Amino acid sequence: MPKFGLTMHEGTLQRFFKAPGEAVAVGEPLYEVETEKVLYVVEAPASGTLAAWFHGEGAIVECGCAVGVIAEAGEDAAAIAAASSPASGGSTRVPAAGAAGTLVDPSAPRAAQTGSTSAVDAAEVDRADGAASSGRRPVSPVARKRAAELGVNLERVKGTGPGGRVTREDIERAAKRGGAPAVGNGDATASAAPLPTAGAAAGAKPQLRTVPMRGMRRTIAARMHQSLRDTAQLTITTEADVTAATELRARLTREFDFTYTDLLIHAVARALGRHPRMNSRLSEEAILLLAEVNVGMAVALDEGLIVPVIANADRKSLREIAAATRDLGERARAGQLKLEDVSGGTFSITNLGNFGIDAFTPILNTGETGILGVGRIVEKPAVYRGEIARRSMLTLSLTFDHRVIDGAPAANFLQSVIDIFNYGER
Amino acid sequence: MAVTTYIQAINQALAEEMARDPLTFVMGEDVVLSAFGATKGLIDKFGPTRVRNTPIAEAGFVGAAVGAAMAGTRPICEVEFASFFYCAFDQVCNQAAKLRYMSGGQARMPITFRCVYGAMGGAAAQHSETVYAQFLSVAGLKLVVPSNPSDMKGLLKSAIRDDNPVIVFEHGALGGHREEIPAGEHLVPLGKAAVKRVGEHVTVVAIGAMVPRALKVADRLAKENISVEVVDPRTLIPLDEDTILSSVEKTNRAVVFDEGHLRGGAATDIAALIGEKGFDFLDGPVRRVTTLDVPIPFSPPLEKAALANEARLEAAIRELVGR
Amino acid sequence: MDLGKDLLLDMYRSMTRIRLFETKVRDLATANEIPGFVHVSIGEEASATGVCAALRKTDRITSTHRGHSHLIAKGGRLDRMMAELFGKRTGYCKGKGGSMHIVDFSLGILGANGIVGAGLPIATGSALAAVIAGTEDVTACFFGDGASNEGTFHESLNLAAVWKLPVVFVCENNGFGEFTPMRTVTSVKDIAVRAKAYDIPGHIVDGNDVLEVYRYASEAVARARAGEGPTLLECKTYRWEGHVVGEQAFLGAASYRTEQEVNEWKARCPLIRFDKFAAESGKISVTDLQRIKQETEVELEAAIKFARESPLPDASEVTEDVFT
Repeated sequence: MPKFGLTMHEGTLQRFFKAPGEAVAVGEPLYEVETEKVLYVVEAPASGTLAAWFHGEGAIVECGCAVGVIAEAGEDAAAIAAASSPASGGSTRVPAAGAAGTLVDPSAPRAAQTGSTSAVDAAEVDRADGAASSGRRPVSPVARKRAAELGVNLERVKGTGPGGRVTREDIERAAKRGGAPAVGNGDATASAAPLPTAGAAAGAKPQLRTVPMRGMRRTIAARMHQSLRDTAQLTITTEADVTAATELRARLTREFDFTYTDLLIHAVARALGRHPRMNSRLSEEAILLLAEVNVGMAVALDEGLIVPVIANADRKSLREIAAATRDLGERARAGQLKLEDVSGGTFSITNLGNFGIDAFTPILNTGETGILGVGRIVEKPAVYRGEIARRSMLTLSLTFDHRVIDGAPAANFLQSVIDIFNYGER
Repeated sequence: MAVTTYIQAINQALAEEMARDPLTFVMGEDVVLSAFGATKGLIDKFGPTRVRNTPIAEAGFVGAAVGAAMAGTRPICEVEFASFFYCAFDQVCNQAAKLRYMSGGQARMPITFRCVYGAMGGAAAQHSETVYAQFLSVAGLKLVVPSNPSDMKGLLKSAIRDDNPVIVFEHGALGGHREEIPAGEHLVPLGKAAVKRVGEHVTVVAIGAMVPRALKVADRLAKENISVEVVDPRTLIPLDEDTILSSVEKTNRAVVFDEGHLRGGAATDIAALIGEKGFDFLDGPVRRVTTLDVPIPFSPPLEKAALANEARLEAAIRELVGR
Repeated sequence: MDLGKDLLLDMYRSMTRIRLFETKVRDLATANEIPGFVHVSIGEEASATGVCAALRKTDRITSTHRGHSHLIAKGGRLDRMMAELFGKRTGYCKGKGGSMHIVDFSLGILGANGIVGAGLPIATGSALAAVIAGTEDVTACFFGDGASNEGTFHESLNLAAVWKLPVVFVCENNGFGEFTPMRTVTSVKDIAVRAKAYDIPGHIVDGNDVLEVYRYASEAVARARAGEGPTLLECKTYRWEGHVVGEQAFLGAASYRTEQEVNEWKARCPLIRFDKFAAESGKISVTDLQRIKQETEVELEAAIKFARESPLPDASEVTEDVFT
């Protein structure tokens, strides 16, 4: 069971894409994991034949435990299936140098897993079985980082540096050995040798570094690309004088605390009521005007983006919206969002104002018709009632699906948002 | 190209910049006769108004340089030995360094301070210190530590043209070092390090007079296939972090080699930089090879024992590469 | 010396601006509207005014931690000074200096300074710059009796004397270095005699008589401009207020001077002296003086309003102005 984030401790085996006995190639979708946050597709870490699953669909498995086993070419899948009983059934980590075959746990590094190389590995294994017995092994910072990049299991690498410290060269040597494809397994070369550096001699280092594409990053990549591919997106921007909103907020925050984002969610939700086309989904034949107004707000996490949803935002007061966003934001950062917190959105808001951005071109969340990009509020000289005055200005960027709605009505929607943002509903 | 010594390089830079800008002038202790030769002959070219011997009164004349800079001229102020700056700490640290900031950017402070620093044999603690570390944490100063004649000329000229207070540290033992330096206008920008030797296994960041010594050690170790990269930061403020970090990213090992003291010193500062921003590049701890934390002694064997030296650098490199 | 009416009124305006500004600053600091250490010059208006009246606009001054009076006398704007005291972005130093560090290069004000004695070598260098650049500018250097015991005083007088630099050293002897009576820590009764050690003229001046200060300063400035070197003036004066606003917090019940002494000096107020002179000379009418006072009050009120309404600096400005 892979660990996709610091806060992930276990995952649910949602779906298997391969059954025991089926051939798998490295990089193929193997099974789907549901975490508290989101669904992930896990790829096969090696090529061969799926020998066994250790758990059924729906089982909850701790991170780091084996989920199944793949027999490589030339190995007897049945024998391996029999031999590798799920010692992992509970919370124990599967011993690395166990039976032959590749244990399906991408959280354990790939390169060291491929092939029946246990003999070679065993020679190099510094058998520190459990950290408790020998304390922390000396591993240099760069070695630790390269090991993660190259998918090398540190526990299997013997350190040759001063005091037995594992060095970068040790890791790259191990990666080169471990990453070599097993005999007769031609199709594995493409990604089983995961790095251009694997064959490079120590000292002649590559310019390129690789960051594994997985987890949330992979999900974001797929969805963003799908969105751009499947819709006709258009972004319009406008700079709005929001001095009134700043005054409104100054007045209201004496009563309760809320952010500009809250005020904007409030405005957007009400504007969506007036412009239902912006709150719709396109099906095969029809535009479905949605009954609920559920506004998603993008939250930046270390691992990527997540979009928790304020359900029925049009029926919530500003105070309720503020409470909801605070709660969702905190839980998002703590990694405690539930699936329902991030699903059902009908329109999204994304805010880069905190990062000094004014205008940008947000990408639609798939299935939605509009997304509002929020810039920073900045004081500027502006013409106000015929004179140059100090005004608070905000740039808004609205991306919408031109298949569903045209420019003029979209612009009207944006004006409604600004109007309600400044003056509330009137 | 002409062969020039470190001292001649200073003299050329001063003469060229004084000829270039009539508001530039030289003041300091014995600049007319010039004890070390750096200002020799300037009196003949530029006369007594622009080449001024000062009394041995550092607070007074360093402070006067501050006032002259604020009032629109471009003083080049020589404090004979770096340790004498201690007599003018207020003028350097409270006045020259801070007045631009404290005046909200109104003051311009185009002063170049020159001084001789470092151990040159038997000068004892009050004439042998490096001193630049004492200025590292004073915001508003630039610190230049040239390691060879070519850099000395190019950096000093840049320092004189800079509108901020710059202290140029001239190592007393490098005065006779000679090399070919580029003919014509030769400027080296402040804040750009130089990779003096390319290597693969370990980066030695060497400061000032330690650079030629690091190169010697690198030559010796090359025979054993230990490949040492020598980086000369050339200016401590501004510090070219990118060149240092890029080198360590390549070699994964770093030694900082500095004649200054260990505690609160330049080596400590650079080691912290590497530890903080280059953590993921490292295959071992960042080693600092510096002078011991004692006043520099007089007697030759004691002085030798105290100072950063090639043997200690070599030992640190060997320890890092495990050979 | 027969002084014209305009010059007399200018000096009166200068002293009035100092008196009203300093009184208001004292009150605002006491009310905690001005942060930090604040040192005011009430009672010492004449020395700053008389010296600066003898200077040209292109001449330069250096000042001290108790520097508001010098800056005002050299033509400093009350609004930008007040904004700096408030720590506002519109202040002379964008809020980076504060009370002890106000600078206005356009008026030749090289700056107040928080370090006692620091201005002496800076003024000397400023005078050296005039020689290097070949201009006629003179630099006046204000400092206190305390600074005359600093090494920089002696080094600067020697350097200025040996190079015959165009600088006027103005010691405002107000009797105290912080809370210590000057006579208990100083080897001489009159600072002016220290000029002898550097072979330059030294004069004792009644620092509360603006006309006398002006006369001595004019002579010293003329000498300097003629290339005859520096002069030391010792203006005997007195500060009515404490060393720092709110000094009771440091001192508690302790005191370093008597109320009687303070009252004696108050009776010698520079402004009252000037009123008397004006009445006797017949050159200046009471209405002239009242008009100047009223105009200054309006200027000061506007300055306080400007300071109060000006924006504070943004945190992003913290790294600006370290280097060019």
